[in-house]
Amino acid sequence: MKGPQDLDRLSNLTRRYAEYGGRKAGLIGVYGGLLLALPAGLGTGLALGRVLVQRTGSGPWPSFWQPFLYATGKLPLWLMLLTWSTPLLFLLGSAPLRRTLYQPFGPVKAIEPAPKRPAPNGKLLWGCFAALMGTLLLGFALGWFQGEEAFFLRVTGAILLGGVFVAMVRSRQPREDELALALLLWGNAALAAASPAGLWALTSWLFSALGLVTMACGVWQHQAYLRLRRELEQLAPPGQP
Amino acid sequence: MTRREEAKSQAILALDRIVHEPARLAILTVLASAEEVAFLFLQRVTGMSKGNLSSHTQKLEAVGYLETVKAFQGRIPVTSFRITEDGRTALRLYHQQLRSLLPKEGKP
Repeated sequence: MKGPQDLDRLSNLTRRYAEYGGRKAGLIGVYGGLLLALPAGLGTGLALGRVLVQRTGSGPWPSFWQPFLYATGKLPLWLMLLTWSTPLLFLLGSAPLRRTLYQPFGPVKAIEPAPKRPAPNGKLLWGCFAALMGTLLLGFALGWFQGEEAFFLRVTGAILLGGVFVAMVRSRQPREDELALALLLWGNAALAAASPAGLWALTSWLFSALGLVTMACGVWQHQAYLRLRRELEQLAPPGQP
Repeated sequence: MTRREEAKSQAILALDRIVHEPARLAILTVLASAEEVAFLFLQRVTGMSKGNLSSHTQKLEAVGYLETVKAFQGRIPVTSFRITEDGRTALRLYHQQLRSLLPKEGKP
């Protein structure tokens, strides 16, 4: 340590390193974004395939579109299972990824959010979200919503999910990126649940777009982490100040 | 010695010796930037040897400026440190005292 600049640098390195203990998702965001975009992308493919086949008779590559055309009113079983398994795949994969990828020099916890950003906001958001999703799921299961009404509710649900995502990121909860991703994956799965294939494919674009944005953010965060790691590795090895 | 110089030397004498030592100042600066810091990371950023770092953290713990947290990450024991409220106050006070000792811009 040579002067105040070194102290500032130490402080800066510590803050940046601590962010990868939970606040920043990095490559975990890429993994989650991929899981989010995959079923939604396939769903969109399903809808496009149907449109193409309806317009051109057999479509340009019938064998390619064939898997998407199993059901006219429901999602194919494999797509349904894939969508439903994404939140679980994310939760199972994110912890080992974080353990192996980030904080190689031991865990450092970031300073908790300031008291002016209280937890009740987060709890309120979770409560609203749980109530909304619970009502929607129950409604779909009991067949309350049909036709345009159901479509409207799904679109509203998707927009609300986007809102919850933004609010969670702004409320700076620990592991907020991962929580928001798990939330989106769960929402995607919930919306896919009893939806006719065509309607789900129409609402799935939002999840697909969010997945792509998350992946881009994850890559950007990971690049920042690699720069930080290089800086830490350039420091004098322990014992040789 | 003028009255001003005398006041300055008094202020220098009033500096917290525990915080004033460069290694301990570095430790407290790192700890103040996070909630909890692992021993390994502290060793990496300060560049101190294990023994040296242990000795300084023990001194800081003895005066109540930091506390040690022992936990397990899987099966691996991890020792971490956390700055206390007293430690934070001491560091803040030290910075204030140093700033007051520095000459104002434009003045000798």
